[in-house]
Amino acid sequence: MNAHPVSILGVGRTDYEPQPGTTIPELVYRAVKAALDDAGMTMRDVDARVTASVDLWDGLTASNVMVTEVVGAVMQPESRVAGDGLLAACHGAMSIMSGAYHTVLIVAHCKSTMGDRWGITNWTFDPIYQQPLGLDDYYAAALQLSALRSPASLSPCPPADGAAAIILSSNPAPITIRGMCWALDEHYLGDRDLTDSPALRKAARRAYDLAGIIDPKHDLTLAELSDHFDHQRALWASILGLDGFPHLNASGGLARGVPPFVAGLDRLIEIVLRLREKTGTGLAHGCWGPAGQGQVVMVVKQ
Amino acid sequence: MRRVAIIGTGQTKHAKSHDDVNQAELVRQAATRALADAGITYLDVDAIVLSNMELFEGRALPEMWVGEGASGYLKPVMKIATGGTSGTSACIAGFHQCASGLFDTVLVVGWEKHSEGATQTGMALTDPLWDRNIASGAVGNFALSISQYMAERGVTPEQAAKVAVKARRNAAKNPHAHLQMPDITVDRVLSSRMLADPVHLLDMCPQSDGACALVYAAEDRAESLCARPAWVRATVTRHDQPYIGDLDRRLLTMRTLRDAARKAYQQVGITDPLNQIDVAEIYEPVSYAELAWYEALGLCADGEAGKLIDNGSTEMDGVLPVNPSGGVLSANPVGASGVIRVAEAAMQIMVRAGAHQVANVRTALATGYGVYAWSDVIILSVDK
Repeated sequence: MNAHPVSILGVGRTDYEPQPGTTIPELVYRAVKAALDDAGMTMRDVDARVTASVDLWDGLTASNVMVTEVVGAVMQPESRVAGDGLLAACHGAMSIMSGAYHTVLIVAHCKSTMGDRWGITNWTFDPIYQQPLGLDDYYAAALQLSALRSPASLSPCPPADGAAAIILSSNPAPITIRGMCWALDEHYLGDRDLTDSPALRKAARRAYDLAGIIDPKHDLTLAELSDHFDHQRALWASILGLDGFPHLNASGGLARGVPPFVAGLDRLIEIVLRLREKTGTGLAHGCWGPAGQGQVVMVVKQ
Repeated sequence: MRRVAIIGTGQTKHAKSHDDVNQAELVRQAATRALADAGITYLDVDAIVLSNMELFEGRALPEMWVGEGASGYLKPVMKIATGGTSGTSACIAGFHQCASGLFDTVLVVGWEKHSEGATQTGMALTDPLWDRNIASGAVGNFALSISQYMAERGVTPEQAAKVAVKARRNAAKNPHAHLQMPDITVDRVLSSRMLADPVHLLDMCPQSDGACALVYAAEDRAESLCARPAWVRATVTRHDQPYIGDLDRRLLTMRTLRDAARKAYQQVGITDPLNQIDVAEIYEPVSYAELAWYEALGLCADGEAGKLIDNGSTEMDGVLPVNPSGGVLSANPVGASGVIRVAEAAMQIMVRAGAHQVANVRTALATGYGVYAWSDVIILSVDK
């Protein structure tokens, strides 16, 4: 990934909190405007966009339809990942690496407080064996905590609404993407060892290889992990080879309340903001689905 | 840009209801067939792109369950969802993944199982403030735009019915097509139940259960695995306003398709699409749309689309056969439909289309259509 590294030119986000009086397009507009301003660009400088959102959380079929105008996609290219925003960043980066586009806007949005936060996730489980049991992401995380034999009580991050945006480009800039990968774990909870994540192991190995990272604790300066539940921070860190790493979630992580699917992209924004202050190599992590069935890792460097 | 080609495709039999398989199994059928067609196994797949409109089945993050059907365990799996264009958008995303150099072999699988959900309910889940109270699904909004199109361009119900007849007769030679109506006639289309004037039942696409997969390989791999790969030469996406009232004469202008096609033609060096393209697989959810797309794609001048179907130019033996597979009018599993267009175009180039093979195909066009007026255009070629 060193031949033509993809750079990060701008970042922007809304406040993260329950925002019942604000529509999804308005949230997205605020994040996009902030990212463009941060990059000193206008929408005319953007060739394409990748959005991330999940229909059932928004109560909309193809929820990217609602944001077409505010992401500047009228008569322009847009793609949309139904998953975590960091995955959308990977999609956008690959579009640039392929030579298709120079500058791509990445946007993730979710108004999670509109719906039944855990009830919705029951519809992720296969409808034959697991869904009828009443499983949801809360119970899956509880099983994970129990498998870890942790005495702590289950602690999910607070619910929130919001949007985040970043601008990726082939234009040279100080902060560049050096490695990325993602993977899916086994779906049936009974087939998984919830105290491990082969998907994260695999994604991290590829991302580290691409970025030339041999000893993560030594080679990384900081890491921002998606701790949707408090116990997951230490678990993901250990799988990433970051046991006892001092510069983990300096932002406070998701405990301050970051919307699902925005979370991974927000981790990347936290890394970018810190690398602007002090050069180094940062890792952004995202996960989605039951007990982190989907895992994504990105390594960036300033 | 690294050169990338399609080296294999696979489809299920598309049908009104596939109660013999669940979603993961449906996906597995298509994926397994595509891998076999490409002469590889799931171990050779580096990354997977999925396409599905999950609210048609009422699911959340369906790739979690269904991804394994596409051999997604411990592999990079990404699900794309952009409405009707989901399949073509996923094909473009898969192409970018392969062309980026990160992955050498990428599997794309689209699926939909409409029989498990309520499609009209899904389509009514639009903007809750302005659109939802009047949301009428695809038939109603097409009827509005078609009336306007007929009034300005003079297209007749008979000409639209000819499109429907062409599609279903072609589909009779495609074992995967949902509708099999070899004896269909213009009279039968015109005497079928009126859904919303002027759209008759047989003018409209069906709702289908089905899946379709294709395999991309980077240059060296493609050439070593496939005697006649379908090289990706252009991919262009254009989205448009989310409200139908903001679209200026939607079917008359179809500006997204017009602009995307012009750009794609320019990239490949096509100046006379009717004669330079050898086969087209276009996303026509309703018979009249195919006529409007002829004009937007520059296959004829505005107002000449009726003539093009009258003189047989787009029939199997015409100058540019359009939808030899039977098109969306003969099978529409939404998340798969765009992948089917690209797969069918690739099959024509690879000379693997069987009874609906067109002779001497060197350049093939595939399009995606979705929401009110979103378009993807993809051009494949026998030449790198």
